[in-house]
Amino acid sequence: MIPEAGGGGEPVFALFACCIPVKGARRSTLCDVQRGSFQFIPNGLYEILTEHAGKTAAEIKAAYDHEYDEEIDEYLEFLLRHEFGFWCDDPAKFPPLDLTWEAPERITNAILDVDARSDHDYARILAELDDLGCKALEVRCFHGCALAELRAILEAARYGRLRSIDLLVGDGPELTPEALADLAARHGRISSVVVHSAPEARRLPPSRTGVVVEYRTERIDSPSCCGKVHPGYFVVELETFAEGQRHNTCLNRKISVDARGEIRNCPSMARSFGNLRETSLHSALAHRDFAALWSINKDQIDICKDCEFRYLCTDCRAYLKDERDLYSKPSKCAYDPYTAEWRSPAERPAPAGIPKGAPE
Amino acid sequence: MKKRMERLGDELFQPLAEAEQSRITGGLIKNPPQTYTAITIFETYDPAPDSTRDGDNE
Repeated sequence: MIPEAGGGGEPVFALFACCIPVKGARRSTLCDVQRGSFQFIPNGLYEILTEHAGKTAAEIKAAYDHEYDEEIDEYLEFLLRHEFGFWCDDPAKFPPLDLTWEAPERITNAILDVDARSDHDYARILAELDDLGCKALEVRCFHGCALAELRAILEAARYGRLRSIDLLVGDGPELTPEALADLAARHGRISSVVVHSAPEARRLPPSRTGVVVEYRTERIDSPSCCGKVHPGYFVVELETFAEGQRHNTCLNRKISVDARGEIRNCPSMARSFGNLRETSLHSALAHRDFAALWSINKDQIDICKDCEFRYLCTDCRAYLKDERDLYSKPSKCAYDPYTAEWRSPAERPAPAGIPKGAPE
Repeated sequence: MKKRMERLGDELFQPLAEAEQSRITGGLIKNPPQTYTAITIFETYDPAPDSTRDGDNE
């Protein structure tokens, strides 16, 4: 209910600190980084929440010459109904979240690619990642994987500092649901197992360990399968949201080893910082250019900077709309923030056809 | 410049449907595209976690 206009003590509406509005060209989002959800809101409501923050309902309505009283009432009721905020007398007592992002680890996440010709020294790679403080590892096996190979990787990680391991593996006769469930039970760091190139798609119910095992029919046989931008990949939580303010949400504090042992920012990036045969992960990381892409944030990327999803999106710096421009939009993103429409890649407008301004 | 106040009931502001949040995975399959709903695992997924087990020491 919107409080009646009263005397001097009229309450004002305040957003919960975890509910953060993000302006897009055509519409905005209100991201609840605590509950892990977002709602679309009109840019007019974004304006009320930012430029008119700390004002009473009457003051907001007056600011718009009472032209939109009905809409403003609707907005405030919407915010209350969805528990985005509350009425209070002293909004200064509810400061915004500090979105400064810091991490003590030199590397927070890594990708390790494996194919049938790979000759990785898993013990060495995992030991080095451990030394760098890596918390999360994605292992991508492009070929039909044997259980022994997976066990070798997981054993190398058994006593390390990794908190999560995501496995993407090619289907093989040994990769039965029972075998994968057993693997997950034996290795508590496994977060998810996705088996690609399977004859049929199915998702197994989460086991007691909470690990989701999923079989997919798609063939994922190279790093080029990565880089898609889609709501299914959005991450709505405080750490990513805060990291995205100043850093690249894909590459920041990431190191990758491709199937041939080349050390890269991501396996899809062209530049190698040396091969594991001659170079350590530490040495590659120490290269002056290694961290150059870490600070490319969404506010600097063409088109993305006008997108309401920009702090939820995981981005891609490997496959770009304009390969010569590091600040170009991901080529595998089919969203147009100027029309708020998703298009299939084939329908994507040519760069010259994309309006630069926000249509109002 | 003051914004025009659009109504929240407009289609533009409706939450994404489940199908829209499904992701198309794998870049190589052409016909037909397969879609999957995003997986969200919450730490509180298991209301009665077995805290006697330790994955490191099994």
